[in-house]
Amino acid sequence: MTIYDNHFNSNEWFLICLLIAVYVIFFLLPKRFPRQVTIVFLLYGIFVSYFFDLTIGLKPIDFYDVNDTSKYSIFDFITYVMFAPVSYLFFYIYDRMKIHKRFTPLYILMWACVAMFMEWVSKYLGVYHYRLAYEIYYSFGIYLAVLSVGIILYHRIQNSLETEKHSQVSFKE
Amino acid sequence: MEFLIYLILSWISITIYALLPKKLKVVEVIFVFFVGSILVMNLFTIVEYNFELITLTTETDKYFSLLLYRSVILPVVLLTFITILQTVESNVHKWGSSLFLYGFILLVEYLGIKFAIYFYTKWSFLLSSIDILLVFGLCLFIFRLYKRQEGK
Repeated sequence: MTIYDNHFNSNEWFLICLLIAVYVIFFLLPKRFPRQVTIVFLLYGIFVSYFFDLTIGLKPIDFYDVNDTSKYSIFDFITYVMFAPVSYLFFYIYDRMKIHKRFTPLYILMWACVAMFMEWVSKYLGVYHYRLAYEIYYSFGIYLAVLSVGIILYHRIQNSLETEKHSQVSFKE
Repeated sequence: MEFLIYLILSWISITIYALLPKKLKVVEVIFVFFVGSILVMNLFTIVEYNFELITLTTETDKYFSLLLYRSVILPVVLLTFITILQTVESNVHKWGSSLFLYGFILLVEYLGIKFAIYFYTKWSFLLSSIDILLVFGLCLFIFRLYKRQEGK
């Protein structure tokens, strides 16, 4: 097991502040989606962060460690849970601004840049510790893929909700 | 060889799901897949990395077989299990299908040991069986809670 530090310091404070900030934003936003959809949009962030951190962040690949040790800790859990409102915000703004298909790649690029900046700050504060030959710019490809899949997921859910609505109307008729 | 077998097992699990006559709603399918994956990933990580009860292979191709088990086979089987429980009327059919799916996962688990994809250090097949059963139960419980949010 690799230990990076034993103290409650910058990475823990950063995560706690960010966690509070993103959940406050989430609860302040007006309701926009049915509750089941909201839960799925929240889960997307948690799923993606778990998937990548517990796939390329563990042995034998082991590109990076999260927080103070290479083991799974409570602050790793907080890191993953923190991604839930962030992913919700991604879908919320996309839906709220009714972004046209033509501008969707731009929207994804913008979010990927924000994610890169946040990762850089997180790395600086000791949330991420890269190992082997991993470099921060590799994450950009992952963000592009993850955000694009998110948009596909969004449209798939919206289409199913539309179909459901139409079938209910025709059933009533 | 191990990877090919795990690919075939993944294909079988996806095919079984695809052949189900009735499906859940799209959001429910995604929800079960996400919850199943998160539960399984948490479980694997805690058992393997934190308590070191299981030792993983260091061979990359075998590791990819494990990823197929963790990220495709188990979540898809969980999805099939929940779908059957929600859409099938007959209790015999429900119990029979659940037992079949549980047996299928135990077979994959057994193959993991046989192919040396992981080794039990302070763990056993019986504990794995109980563990998988708990994941099935927990996933069903969480899905029932989620189902109550319908229309809200």
